[in-house]
Amino acid sequence: MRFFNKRFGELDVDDEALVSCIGGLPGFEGFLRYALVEFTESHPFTWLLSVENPDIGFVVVNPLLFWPDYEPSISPDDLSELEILRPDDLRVYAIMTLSPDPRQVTINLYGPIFLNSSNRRAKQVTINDDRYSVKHPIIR
Amino acid sequence: MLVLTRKLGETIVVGSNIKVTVVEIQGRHVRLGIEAPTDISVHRGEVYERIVRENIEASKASPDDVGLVVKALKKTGF
Repeated sequence: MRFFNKRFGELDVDDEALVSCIGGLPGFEGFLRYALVEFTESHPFTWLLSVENPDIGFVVVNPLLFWPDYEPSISPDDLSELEILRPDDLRVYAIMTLSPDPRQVTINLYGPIFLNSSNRRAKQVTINDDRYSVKHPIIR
Repeated sequence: MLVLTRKLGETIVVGSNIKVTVVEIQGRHVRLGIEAPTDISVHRGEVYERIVRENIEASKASPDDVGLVVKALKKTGF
């Protein structure tokens, strides 16, 4: 599908890249449809771009790349909302908060996004775990 | 806003299936027990607000900043 994002202009993505965020992301409740877009120069990061609002774009990453011991808990209700049938379908992403100074770049381990890779349903949850915060620097 | 006075051990019922109990009172701290159906998410108010604020900040992501952090990571041997 084609959509416009102010950072990248017109983009054309496969349907498999589309994601439907249950309830929208907190603060952006009116926007449910996103695309996960990868560019080689952004690796290992992925863009999560709203296909409905050209201003909204997040950078997400698999948090296990930086925190191999990260173990966010997911409630049975979230699993059923995402319609997870096979554990292998569950993906986790953390949203990055960027800065021109890489040492100020953080990832949000307190509010991860879970994705069902087979039906493309996603949800940002809060994990109520004091070990994690919304701002973990990735370069220490 | 509806304001109700409750004593230790007393409850407030919201709708037909949400129950809030005053479990403990210590000085300025009140511990509440919340019984609600599993599809109702319950959060400390400031937790949800924190996620909202962080999302708003994160949504302004710029490709230039991504480039800078990718470069900085490579330098660290990532």
